[in-house]
Amino acid sequence: MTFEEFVAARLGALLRYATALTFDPHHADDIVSEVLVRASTRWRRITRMDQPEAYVKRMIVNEFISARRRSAKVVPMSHEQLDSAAAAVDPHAGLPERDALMRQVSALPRRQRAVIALRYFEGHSFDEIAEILGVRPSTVRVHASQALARLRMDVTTVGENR
Amino acid sequence: MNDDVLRGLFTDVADQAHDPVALAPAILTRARVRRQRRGLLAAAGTTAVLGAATSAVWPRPRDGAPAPAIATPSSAVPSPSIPDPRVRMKYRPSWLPKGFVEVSRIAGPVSQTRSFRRGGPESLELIHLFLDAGPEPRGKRTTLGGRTAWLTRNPDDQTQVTLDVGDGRKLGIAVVDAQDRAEIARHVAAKIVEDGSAVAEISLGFGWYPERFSRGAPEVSIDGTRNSWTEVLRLKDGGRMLFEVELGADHPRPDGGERSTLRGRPAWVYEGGLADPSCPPSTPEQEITCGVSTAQTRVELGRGRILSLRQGAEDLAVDEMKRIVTELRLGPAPDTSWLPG
Repeated sequence: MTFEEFVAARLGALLRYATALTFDPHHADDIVSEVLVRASTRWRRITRMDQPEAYVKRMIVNEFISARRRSAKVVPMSHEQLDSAAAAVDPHAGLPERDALMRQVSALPRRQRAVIALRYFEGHSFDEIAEILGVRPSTVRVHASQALARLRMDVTTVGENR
Repeated sequence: MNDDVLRGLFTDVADQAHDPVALAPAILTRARVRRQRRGLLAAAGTTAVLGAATSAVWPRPRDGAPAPAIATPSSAVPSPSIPDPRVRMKYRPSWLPKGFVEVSRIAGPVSQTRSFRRGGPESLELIHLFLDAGPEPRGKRTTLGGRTAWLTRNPDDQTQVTLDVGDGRKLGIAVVDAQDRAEIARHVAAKIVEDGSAVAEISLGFGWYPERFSRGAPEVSIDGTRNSWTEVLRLKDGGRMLFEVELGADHPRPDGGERSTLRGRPAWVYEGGLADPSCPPSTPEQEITCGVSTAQTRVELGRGRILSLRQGAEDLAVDEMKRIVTELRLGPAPDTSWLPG
C-alpha cells in the first residue's frame, strides 16, 4: 500500500483516534498531520512491518503524550473552560452526568487519558497498551487504576453534590 | 459508571473528528515536499543526523530570490580548510531516461553525489549517483559498460547497481520512485563516463571553527534551481556530520532563541536540546516522536536569503556558533547555469 493509498483509506480512522485521545478535533488534526508527514519519509520501512497502521497509531499516541506541540505549555483550565471544551465535542452536553464525566476525562493527565482511551476506545489489553506506550504492563495497570479511581470518585462526588 | 459509559463517551468524542477529505490534500502535499527534500539529503548521507532537526529548519528554494551580492569579509584567522570551493565531479551519466535534469551536486574529499530529477520540485522521480570508497558490495556480479558491476538482489535496496570505477571507489546508481528501477539503473550504469568538467561550487568557505573539529573534512552541496538555490558547506568526520552552514532561501523561523546581530544583520541563536524531557526514552519511536531540537544560528542577510548554521553530531557552544558564522567567508555567487530554470 502506498502512502497516498494509506492516507486515503485510513485518515478518517486516525482522526477519530486522535480526537478520542485529545478531546480536541483541531489538536487531533495537527497531531495526525505531523505524524503522517514524518511517517511518509520512511514509508517503505513502515509498510514492511506487520501492522503499519498500529505503528502510525503508536506515533500518534506518543506525539500526544510528548506534549511538545502547542500544548507543551500546560495551562490549567478553569471549570468554565472545561465546560466549554466539553460542550464543543459532546453531543450530550446537556446531560449533567455525561458532562461531568467528559470534564473529568479531559482533565486526566495525558498518560492516564491515553491508557483509558486505548483501553475503552481501541479495546486494547493492558499488555498491548504497554507495548504501544513503551512501558511495563504493571505501569499501565497503575495508570488505568488511578484514572478510573479518579473518575469514579469525581463522578460520585459530583453526583453527591447534586 | 461502567465500562460501557466510557466506551460510549470516547465514541461520541471521536465522532467530532474533522472530515478527512478536507485535511488529506494538505497532508499529501506536505509529505511530498518533505520526502523530496529528504531524498536529496539522503544523497548527502546526512539523513540520520539531520533527521533530528525539526522540519522548520529546512528551507525551500523560493523562485525569484537570487543570492545577494555579498562582499568577502576579512578574517584574522586563516581558513582551516577548503583551499578551493570548486570540486570537480568525476563521473556523469551519458544516458538518462527522457526528462531527467540535474538538480543537486554534493562533493567531499572522497565521496560525491549527483542527483537528477524528472518533474517539478515536488517530484520524487530521482536518480542518484553515489561515488564512495567502499568494500565489494553483495549482489549478483556482472559487467556493465566494461566495468565490474553488482546488481542488488533486494528490490527495496536504495542502490540497485554498484560499479567498480577503480582507485578503490564504487559508484552506486539509485533510481527512486520508478516501477522499473533495476532496469533503468542498469542502463544508466552501462553509460557512465568520466566527467572532469562539471564542478560542485559554492560561495561559502570556513574562516574558523573549533580546533577539536580539525579531523573533519569539508563537503560542499548545492541544489535548487538556476535562480533560487541552496548552498551547504558541511564539516564531516567520515560519515558523521559535525556541523553545517547553509545559505538558502527564507523559511519559517523556529520559536524562541536569543536575538542577536551577526555580520551586521539580524540573527537568532538557538541552544538546542531535548524539547520535551518527558518523551519516552529508548523506544523505537524516539527519533520520530521526541522533539530533539538542534543548536543552530540564523542570520537574515536580506532579500529573502538566510545564512544558517546547524550543529551535527557534536555539541557547539553558542559562542562557537557565533564565531563560525562571523568568520565565515562569503564569496561571489556560484555558477548555477547547470541547474533547471
